[in-house]
Amino acid sequence: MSVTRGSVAIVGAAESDLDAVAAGMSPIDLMAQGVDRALRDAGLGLRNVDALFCATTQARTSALSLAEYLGLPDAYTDSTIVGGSSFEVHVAHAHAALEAGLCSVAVVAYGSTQRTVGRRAASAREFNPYETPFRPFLPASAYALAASRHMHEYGTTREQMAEVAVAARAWALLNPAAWEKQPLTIADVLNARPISDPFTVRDCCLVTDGGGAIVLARADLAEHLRHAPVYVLGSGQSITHASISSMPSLTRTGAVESGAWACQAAGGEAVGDRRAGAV
Amino acid sequence: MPNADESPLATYIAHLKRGELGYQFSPSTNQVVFYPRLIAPKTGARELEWRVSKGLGTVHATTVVHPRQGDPYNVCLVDIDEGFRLMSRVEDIPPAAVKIGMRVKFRVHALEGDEDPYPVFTPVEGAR
Repeated sequence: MSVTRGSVAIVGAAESDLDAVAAGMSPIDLMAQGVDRALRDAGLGLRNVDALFCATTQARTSALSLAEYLGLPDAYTDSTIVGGSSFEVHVAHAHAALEAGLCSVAVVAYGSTQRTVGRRAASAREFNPYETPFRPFLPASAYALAASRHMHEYGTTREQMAEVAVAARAWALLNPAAWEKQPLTIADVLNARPISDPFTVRDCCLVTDGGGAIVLARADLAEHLRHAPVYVLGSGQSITHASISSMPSLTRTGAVESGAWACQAAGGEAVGDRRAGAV
Repeated sequence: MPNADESPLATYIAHLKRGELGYQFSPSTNQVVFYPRLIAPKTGARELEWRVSKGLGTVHATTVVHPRQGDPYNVCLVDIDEGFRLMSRVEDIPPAAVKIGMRVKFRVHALEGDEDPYPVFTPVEGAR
């Protein structure tokens, strides 16, 4: 048994306030704001919503909090939290729930006030007796360990890795909502404050406030809403580890599996043939 | 069923207090298990026996953390010869001198107050 390719679609999407939000905003405020804007984008309203998918590091029971905030006691909920890919997992789960008829209009929401409250307060790490005593600066040190292995196995250079941050900044300069307004050079990255070798602060993600939401519905409803539907063709998931010392291979991520399964579910042939968007 | 006498972590710490790097082995599948658990991954086998490592390994990955306050320090992943990997640090050399492929040997980090002991490593003399 599996979900049907294209049986559901994304019908609305929006961002919440971004960058540095007003004092006192909570992550749930930002989720609700994103949900409100995304529903308007779809031409729907809160009264249509019967499923909530959400996750944030700042709220362990975000589904409870969001259902309470939105006044949706009977909503189908899922607050699976697996890190940054939580929302792709939510889309996969919403696909199944919608197709099974367990709900009809699902929202997937995120909110974070990590800039305002500080990174440490927003993402407190659980104690791991096999890692915490060594004080890795997570998640940067986990990626740094993987980078050291990549450099060792493939000869990847610092400059090549810095190009990722440089490219991301170049794309950001095209977006008026982006936090950073200045170009970034490889030298800027290499000369920035070191965090966990080989990475400097400029190799690492910006810490900003933000959030957003998307709306999903079955294809028959999607075809009658405001935008051309963005059909969900397929998804894949793979969990390699929670702690970096348990990652089977530092240079082969679970994306190798999840990407292949998503393409296969979407009806794809070789991965190289795909023209569909992937997340 | 009565509760388990001792947690996997407590057994691991007890080994460290005796100067030993303990790990588990699942005899039914010849599978080395680390971090210590109650059941073996994939098989769910309950019969996990504790063994003591010879304490030798090879650095698999390494980084140097630069804290806002204090000196930079090493964090690494070490592949132990018996077939498991753990996070630790290499001591006695500058943190940036730790290299992938370096042969290292285990010692117990000295206790400070109530802190549980943990394994650290030092370069093996004369190794390549």
